[in-house]
Amino acid sequence: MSERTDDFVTYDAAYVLGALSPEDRAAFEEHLRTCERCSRAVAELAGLPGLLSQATPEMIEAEPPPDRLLPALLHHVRRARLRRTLTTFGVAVAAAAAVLVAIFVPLAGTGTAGTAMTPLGAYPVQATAAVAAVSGGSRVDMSCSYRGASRSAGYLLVAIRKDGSEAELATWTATPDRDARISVGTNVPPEEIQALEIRTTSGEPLLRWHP
Amino acid sequence: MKEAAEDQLMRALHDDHAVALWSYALRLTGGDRARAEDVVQETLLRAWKHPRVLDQTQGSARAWLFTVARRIAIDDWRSAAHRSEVSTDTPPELAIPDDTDRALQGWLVAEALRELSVAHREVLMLCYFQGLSVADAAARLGISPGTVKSRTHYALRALKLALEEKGVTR
Repeated sequence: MSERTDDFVTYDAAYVLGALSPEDRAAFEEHLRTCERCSRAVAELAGLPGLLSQATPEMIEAEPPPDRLLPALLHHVRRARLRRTLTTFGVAVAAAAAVLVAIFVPLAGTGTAGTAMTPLGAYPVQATAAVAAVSGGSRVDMSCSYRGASRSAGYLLVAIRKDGSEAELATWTATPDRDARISVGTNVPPEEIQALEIRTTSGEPLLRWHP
Repeated sequence: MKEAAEDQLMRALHDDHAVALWSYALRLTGGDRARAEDVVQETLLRAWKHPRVLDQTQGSARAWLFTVARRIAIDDWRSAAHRSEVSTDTPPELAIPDDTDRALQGWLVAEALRELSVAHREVLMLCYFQGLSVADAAARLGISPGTVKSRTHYALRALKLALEEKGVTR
């Protein structure tokens, strides 16, 4: 029965799964005694029912995780990235006449402080700022990011007094795609501050902030 | 690492493991969906911070993830019990069954099955999980018994290959 022998080639899987009819099963086992190829095929598949037994239909038709999972994860990724860029940014703050204290605040766990500074043109720089009263003057907190700039650039943070005079608060070198966070003290009291400006070292204003 | 690459890594982690982790976490938390979500999120974030654990077979990476998830669920259980000062005679270790290995293997098998074509998966669901004979499966699917045999023949081989790719060999 050569026709039957050809059929047997596909019996191996149904055989190990226990799905063959009693007649087919008997015939196939008879065939296995003389067919090395089919015996080898059965041996290859013999471990699979044991593996299948470890899965359940519920696992195969498992409910998907909540839709909000991925957005929440990506949000965490962005926050982790922000924290990291803040802590690795190298800033060189030059001592200026009006600067009492220039420190790099501990960055862990803090978000962006203050309100957004207004861009005065299409520059690759964004910043937020806040002014708080401290004894003897003000503390100015500024967070600044640089996106898409091709090389480092020098910047100034300037306070403009109500009478129009200016106090240079800090200078630093910005590195593309890094964020800077600066906290400086000045003897200008908050009520005297008309505006803050970020300028290039050549004096061109980029961003302005009003209390 | 650039922004896009980091997002991509998290997306890949989510796509590869979230379904299995979600079901596992649901079981770890006894069906508490809010806690399960925390467990999955924390687990995937840890993996994202240690991407080298992913430089191995899917099975080994999954083993790491399941172990971490179980750890987080236990710590979470402990601190929750501590906060509400629940007194219990059951040590926390017993609150969560340690069937990590078995669950892992089962999940990899389930995923290998999901990767098969519909025709292949269907015939294995009927002939193995529902225990139908070739003749009954043929009647159910409206195909000949010979076709059921040849489909199972190819389906089991495809499954074996998919399992080998996941590092499951036995």
